[in-house]
Amino acid sequence: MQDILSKAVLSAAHQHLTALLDNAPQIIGAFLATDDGFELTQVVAGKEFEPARLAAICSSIIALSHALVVESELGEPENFLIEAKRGKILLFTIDSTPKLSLAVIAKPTAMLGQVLFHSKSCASEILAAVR
Amino acid sequence: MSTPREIKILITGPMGAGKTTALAAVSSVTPIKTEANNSDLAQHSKTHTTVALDYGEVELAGGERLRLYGTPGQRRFNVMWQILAKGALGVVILLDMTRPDPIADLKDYFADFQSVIRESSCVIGVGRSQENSSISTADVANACTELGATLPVFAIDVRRRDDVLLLLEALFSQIEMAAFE
Repeated sequence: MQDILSKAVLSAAHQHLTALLDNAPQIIGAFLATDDGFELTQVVAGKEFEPARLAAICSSIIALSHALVVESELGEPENFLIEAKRGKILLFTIDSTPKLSLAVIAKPTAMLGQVLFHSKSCASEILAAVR
Repeated sequence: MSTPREIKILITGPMGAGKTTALAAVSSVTPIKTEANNSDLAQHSKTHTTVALDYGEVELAGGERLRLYGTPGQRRFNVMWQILAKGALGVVILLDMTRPDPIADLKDYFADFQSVIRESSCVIGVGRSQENSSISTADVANACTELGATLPVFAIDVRRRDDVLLLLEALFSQIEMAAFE
């Protein structure tokens, strides 16, 4: 598969993910992928994930959630939240060319507003870097 | 044992075999699609690819309603394969004869969906068969036999409603026969 992003853009995106985890210690992982489920880069803290598998599952969930939002006539979806016993997952679509997905995993005790704020900022910075 | 009137059918096969097209060709409701831009142009040149599922419905001449679930083709979505396979009473494997090795594709998908195929019914739809003279539908049928399954194999055009309906009617007949055994 050919490179989706240039090395410079990928490096910039990785730095934004690193900054996200630095700015919000409640976040334990951030993953950037194509919207068709290929992993691009990730930063994790203290926990191992399978990024390739996560990228594919995130792609499916975002697409399914998008279908649900469209079916419910709620307009364009912005982000998706999954709350579990041992953590929270936020999923974002980055409307760049190519379209990307950002998955952010946070501790269960994380303050949602804070995670959302930092994650949205990160998504905007990645969007600017890709553009 | 009678055949349930609402039947879940799985449509699977490699990327670009025409699963989304086949489902759309027969669905009586607007299909639900979950497509993303295709980043893997080396694998297939199409612009979009299914990443979660396609969903549609079709009513057969006898009044039976089939609920159709199309899978993503790529292996990285095998989590969706497992989810979608639950409760399926029939499986359609679509093959694209212009791919490098359609028989290998058949073996791969047969293996991946083996548990649901063993417990349900299965038919094979062979697309673009006229564009590859080196492999025939008989070769595909023989490959099925080698895999331990005698399965109906049809040469179809996934864009043609009648072709896809024929495939589904054949699958439904198998499901009915299995229900009465």
